[in-house]
Amino acid sequence: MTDAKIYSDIFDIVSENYKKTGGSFGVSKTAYLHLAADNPSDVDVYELSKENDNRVFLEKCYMSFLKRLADERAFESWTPRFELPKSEYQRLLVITMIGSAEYDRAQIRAYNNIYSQKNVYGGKLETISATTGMTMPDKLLKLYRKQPEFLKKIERKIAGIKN
Amino acid sequence: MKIYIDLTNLMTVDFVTGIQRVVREITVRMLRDSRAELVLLKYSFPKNAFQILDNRRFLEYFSENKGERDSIATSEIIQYTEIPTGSVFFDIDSVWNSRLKRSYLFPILKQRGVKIVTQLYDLIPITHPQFSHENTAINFMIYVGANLKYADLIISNAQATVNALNDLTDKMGMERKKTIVVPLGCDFKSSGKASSEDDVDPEVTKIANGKYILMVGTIEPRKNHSLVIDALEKGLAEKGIKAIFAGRIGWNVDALEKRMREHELFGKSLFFVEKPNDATVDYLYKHAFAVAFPTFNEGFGLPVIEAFERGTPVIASDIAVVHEVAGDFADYFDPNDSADLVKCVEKLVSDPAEYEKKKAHLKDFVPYTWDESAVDMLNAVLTVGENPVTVPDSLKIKQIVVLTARNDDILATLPFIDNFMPFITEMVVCCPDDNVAELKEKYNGRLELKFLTDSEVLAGNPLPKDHSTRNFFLRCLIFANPVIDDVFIMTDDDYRPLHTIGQDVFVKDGRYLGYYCYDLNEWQGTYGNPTSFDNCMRKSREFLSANGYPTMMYSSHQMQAIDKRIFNEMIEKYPEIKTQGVCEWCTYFNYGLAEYPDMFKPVPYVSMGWPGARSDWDLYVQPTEFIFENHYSVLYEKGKVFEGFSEEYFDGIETENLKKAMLFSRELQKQAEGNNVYRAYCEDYWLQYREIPSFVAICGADGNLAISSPVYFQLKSLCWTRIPITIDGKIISEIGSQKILLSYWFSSEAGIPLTPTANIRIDNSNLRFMLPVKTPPSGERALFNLKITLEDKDKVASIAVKSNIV
Repeated sequence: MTDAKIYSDIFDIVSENYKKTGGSFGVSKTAYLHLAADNPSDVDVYELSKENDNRVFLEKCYMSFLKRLADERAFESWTPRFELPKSEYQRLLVITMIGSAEYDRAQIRAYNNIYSQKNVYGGKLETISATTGMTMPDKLLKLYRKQPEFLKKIERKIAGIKN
Repeated sequence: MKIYIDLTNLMTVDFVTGIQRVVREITVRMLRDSRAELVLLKYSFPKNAFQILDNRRFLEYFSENKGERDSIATSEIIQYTEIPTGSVFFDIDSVWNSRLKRSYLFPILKQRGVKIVTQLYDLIPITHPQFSHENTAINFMIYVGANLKYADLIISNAQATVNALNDLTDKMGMERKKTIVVPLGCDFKSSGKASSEDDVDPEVTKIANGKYILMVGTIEPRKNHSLVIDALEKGLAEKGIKAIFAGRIGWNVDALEKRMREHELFGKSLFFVEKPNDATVDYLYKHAFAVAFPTFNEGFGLPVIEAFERGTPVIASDIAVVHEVAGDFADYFDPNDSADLVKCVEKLVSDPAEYEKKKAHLKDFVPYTWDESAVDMLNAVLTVGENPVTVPDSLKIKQIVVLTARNDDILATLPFIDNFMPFITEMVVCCPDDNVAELKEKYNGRLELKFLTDSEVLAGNPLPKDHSTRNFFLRCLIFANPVIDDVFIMTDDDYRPLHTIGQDVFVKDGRYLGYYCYDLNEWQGTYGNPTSFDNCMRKSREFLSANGYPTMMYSSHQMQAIDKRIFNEMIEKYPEIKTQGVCEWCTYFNYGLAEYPDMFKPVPYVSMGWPGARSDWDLYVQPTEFIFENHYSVLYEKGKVFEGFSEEYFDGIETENLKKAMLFSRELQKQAEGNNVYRAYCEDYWLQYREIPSFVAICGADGNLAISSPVYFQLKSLCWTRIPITIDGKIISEIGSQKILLSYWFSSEAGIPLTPTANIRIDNSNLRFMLPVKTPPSGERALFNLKITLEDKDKVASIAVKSNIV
């Protein structure tokens, strides 16, 4: 029996047991199977981006980037954006995840980040400056990271970001 | 036998109750038992590996209360892949909430022939998920799933848990797991951490008087504390009976905690002793009128045993597991009926003679001790290594089997076998019919040659066209032929031993050695355009994964020993793979290791000349010695690594082979140095940007093409480095391109090319790959230029990344 089939069967059995007591899982089966296949340290953003359901994508992001289930606050804050186009929603969420202090603490390694804002170029080679280097958002981010924690906290408060 | 134990949870939490106490008691005793060599571990998430703990410091801290917990972990790191074949990984801690999921760890351990033993405390999150936090339930389900698949033995503390496990596997249509029941000990303070009456919380001595019923354990819905409060309200309080809850506040009990703290009886007949120390718990047990255990479900029920040990009667839930543990020593009530509980207590109160008789009866209770639990548990762990089915010592391999269509190659290789493999006396040559006469005529060595010609082997069957499919198909037919010994050495016509070797290169300590070079899950193959070999590896991975086998890559281009009985058994079980183009080495060794774990040992490959060129593929394991050469004539050409050396056998070639091995080793070393520079760069980049650098060709929202790249690069000069490239599938699905061309080159900052432009066409089925790039000489501030062209859509995206070449 394959690993995926075993995890899937257990989910069905536990769901049934939940139902008997009038309860149900808050976690989707897709997200649960995603966690069962989780790498403890790396996140392949490209693979993650193949998820078409914005709600499931949210669950998967919390599992992969923060190593926990999305809580009520996460749903409160992201549910209003479920109607956004998939790529826009995903970009917003991935950037938020990677920028969060919790991601920092978890020391997760994101790769194949198709939503990276580090250095994205299109067009013809001739138009690209030969002095490709750090972009302005990068510089700001570096400055932000160097600040002591209490200053970061104040900034977040001013910006109205719930931590 | 080495036993590895992950104690991450014990080393992290700030309390030692419940499971943590079991882990402490058992581990301390196992450490003192000379029958096993324990390696204690703690998961390090920054390194994604285990930190090794200092056994002496662990003992001092957990049994003698000496030293600091933080000083127990050493700086020594062990990767999951370094846990050796034949050792045991024993999961005794509550690891399900660990970031290192067993669904990730166990397949890695199994690939290396590590045995897995798990101490399963209960199945409550599966059978009664309503009593667990959702996070715990989800994690526990994954933990149980991994154990159902990979554990060699499951130890449980109660038959009730084993029954629940059997129910689960039956329901899933799986084979039942091998299980053993080992009850838990209950001798308090037994680990050596002595505590005296002086340590008893003085506030507790003020409330623990008169008749009180005690509940010990974390306050959580499953433990059913509400029932005791109900019983107080329904008459117990009026009769002067008090209730004391001792433990921690757990999950999902806000309402209960509020009810308790705001109850009119709180502080009068109802008391809560939060996080009591061992001495206080001991005091509470000894002075209680009775211990209540109204739990809905339980794995064992340690408080029941702990109460008995102190001669305190127990009134408990009428459930199977408690009956199993407490038998006729306890009184039982319905956990859903507070009136029944009241009745049960009243019965004890109203008949003092009966109460005293009950207490006297408890003297007959023979508790299990922690010493006994630990010995039984260690015995159980050691059984997984008992009576192994190994390769018999009497095995003598004498036959080598080769598939060849090239007489020149096998004739050049034969003298190496003649001279360096004295235990081989016979070679079976499987070849086209036309080759036989020439081979017979030209070979004059000591081996007896036997022939299996294509016409004999195929017997009218058509030969598959694909190279890999043909190889596997032919081998299946050949191994079914009676001329083939049960155990033989399988080789190709260009695998040569470098010096004299014995049978122990192939069979050692009762195990067949399987030489691996990769993990099939990691194999990237030829960038952008998979070859027949790459497809064969992919198909092998798919077959092995689908059937639940390990996925190591044993296609190591060297001789390996084959037990045809095991190979044929695999074919009998999976006849469809005969013509599916899978790899004979990968399927056989992974199947063998899974089905006969004591007969196989995976070891890193020892073949020189594999890979033939550094640009071919990146090393997964670095060989530490070379025993064989995978002979490539091209490596002897001018400017290549073996230029000037003989390709033919001659007396004394061992010395030359030694030099060749050193040269090839140096080549691989260069590759390793390049990889080290790249890894260090990735690490720095991650520290700065919290991302691992990678290139992704993206289809933007506007349907345009763009490239996401790292901000900068750092690479070793004149070295092949592999950089990860991902092509967004939307380029094909949404832009509709079928012709993707990728070009790359290094240039100076002024745009002057430093390396030629390399072009590759991307296979649409292979959109993620490692691109091998050859770097220019050092001292250059260079740009790495990457250009992606959709030839059929007139779209292009390019990027130039500043690169430090060191």
